[in-house]
Amino acid sequence: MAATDATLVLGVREGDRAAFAELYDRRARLIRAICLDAAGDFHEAADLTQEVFLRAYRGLGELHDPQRFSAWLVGIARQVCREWHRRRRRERTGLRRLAATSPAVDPPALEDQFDQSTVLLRRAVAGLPEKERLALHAFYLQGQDAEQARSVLGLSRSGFYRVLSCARQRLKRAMSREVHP
Amino acid sequence: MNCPGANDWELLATGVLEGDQVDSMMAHARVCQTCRSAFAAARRDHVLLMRMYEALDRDHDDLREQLMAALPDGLPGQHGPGPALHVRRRLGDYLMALNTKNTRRVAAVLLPAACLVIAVAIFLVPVQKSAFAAAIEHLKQAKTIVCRVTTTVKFEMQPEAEAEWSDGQTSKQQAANQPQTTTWYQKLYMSAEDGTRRDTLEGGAVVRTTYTPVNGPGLVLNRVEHTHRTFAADDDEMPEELKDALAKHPVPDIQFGSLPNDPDRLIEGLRNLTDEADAELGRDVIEGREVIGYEIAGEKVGFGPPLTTRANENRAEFWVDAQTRVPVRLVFHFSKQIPAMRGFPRATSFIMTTVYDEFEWDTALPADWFAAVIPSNSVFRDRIAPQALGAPDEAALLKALRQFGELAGRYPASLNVSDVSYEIAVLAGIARAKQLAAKQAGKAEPPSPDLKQMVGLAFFSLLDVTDRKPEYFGKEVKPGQADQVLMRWQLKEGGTRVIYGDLHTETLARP
Repeated sequence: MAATDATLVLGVREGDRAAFAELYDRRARLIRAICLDAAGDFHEAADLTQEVFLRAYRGLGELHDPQRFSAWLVGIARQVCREWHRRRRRERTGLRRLAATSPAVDPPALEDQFDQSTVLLRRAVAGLPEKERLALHAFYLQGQDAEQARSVLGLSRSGFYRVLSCARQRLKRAMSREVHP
Repeated sequence: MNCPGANDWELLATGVLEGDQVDSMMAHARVCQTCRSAFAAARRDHVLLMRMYEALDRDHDDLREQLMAALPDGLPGQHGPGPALHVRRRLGDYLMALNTKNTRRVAAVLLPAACLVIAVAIFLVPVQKSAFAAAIEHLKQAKTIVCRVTTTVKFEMQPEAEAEWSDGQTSKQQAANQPQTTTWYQKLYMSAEDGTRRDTLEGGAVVRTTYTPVNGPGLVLNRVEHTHRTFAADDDEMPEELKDALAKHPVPDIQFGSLPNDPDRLIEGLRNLTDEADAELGRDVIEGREVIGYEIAGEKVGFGPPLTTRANENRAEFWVDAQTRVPVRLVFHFSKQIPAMRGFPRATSFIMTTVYDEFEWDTALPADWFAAVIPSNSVFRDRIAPQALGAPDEAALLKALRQFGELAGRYPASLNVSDVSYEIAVLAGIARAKQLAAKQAGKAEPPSPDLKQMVGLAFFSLLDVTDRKPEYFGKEVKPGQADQVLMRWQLKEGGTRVIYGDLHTETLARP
């Protein structure tokens, strides 16, 4: 039987680094998706994900309830993304001031990183309310396991189904607008 | 069977429905074209989503390897939870244990005792210190810090004072003409590697930028006057004797609400300040985060010399995120009496409040953000280089005392470095205000203190560090009092050197 997140967390606290690698394998996709929503760039999202896991590792000693590791990790990811946004705003201001001396470099467009249909879908997902977006991420990036996804989001089973189906409906409408504007 | 709703088809396509519900919906879809189409569309979307999310999986293994290599040595959270957290965990463990059948009976007996033990533990645990330690830990680890600095100065006036300014106005008129509260804003960028940059803002625009690199001279760029000037960022160029004197009588790192220039010094300063809090200020919400506040007494903050500080009103507030312990807001309340000066308006003290907030930790700050780009139309203003000051001696002291006496109408109350620095700063400020008033009135501008000469006042500290037992009586002695001893000290070769109130000197054979 696979170890629970809580067991792995306790293992990491005891110095078992392989346990942390396992936690990464389980949750990195979800965290990367959250970071991609914020950054809109895959490479930036990968960097942010690393930052999230590094912070989590450093702070693991203070996680009160190891069973809530996933929800705690999502919280860190949201905080890291907020900080990234603030940093970006400041850097843009700085770049404007330094425009005369340093050419601005745009991040690679999503089109260069994904195929066209994926780009459209990604944009539609990015436009969903955060709760619905997280529900999709949590479901599709964790083996389509509704039970796991709802525990990450702290929702009841019926609550999770409601959010998930709303997300799917909204996505459908957004996609049809993209294809038939 | 009625047609299921669109939501149900979405859930079925996603695969989260189970059992009979799946069977009955599939049976319905076989006979209902509309629902079959809805299910097929939902299924297509589901497949598209799966593909999209698969694309996110790229480089997963490589990224994991990178992460594992980047993990810090040692166990996570090596410092362990704070005592308060430890108690909360114990409480959590205890309550979880109560959920089992056997322990539930025992709990009825033990719970009151356990509550008592826990309550005692909570009260005995130094919660404040633990939160502080965590907050200071954040400061210690930060390599870059960005924050907003808001400074408000409020002057307090004394109605009975009627000093007259050089332009003929009474202090009452001056007070009516001038705002009694001033606020200014700055954005502070600190990097352990590249130094400090401080932007002063007015109306949202940067009017002045101060660059303080880690090594080398600093630079102030005035973007309104189109001037720039340099200043020594470190004391490498300072004469050794003066360094020794300053080391013996250090000016507090944190004074006038300003903080040291680089994160390491900021952290060091704050560590010194906030060894432990004096009081808890309770909880609040700042920037949408729940925070806990702590208060630190003024003397721990290192606020000002005892001579002119209203010590009981000086204090710092330290607001820390209740969960993460990240510092969210620092507030310094600092008040000072303004020493009596000739021609000074009736303000007798001021209260300065400096707020550091909107913190960003460890953001990537490009190195060139800390490198000044001097516009071609900027005019260089003279710099006061420490080496140009020279080591203070008796002659320099006499010059400085004379100048101070002429401008202020009295001598400095103390020659302690931090006291006298403050008095010189006030004197220079008054002189500047008088000059502006005279300029506006088309009158001759009054003199301002020559700061190069004022360094002569440090001779007292130099005598002190060389154990020459200097004594100074500036509080009691007024300029021109030829029969009053203003200062005296022992000579190396024996005897006592004396300076009188009219600044004539004498060497006495005996102490």
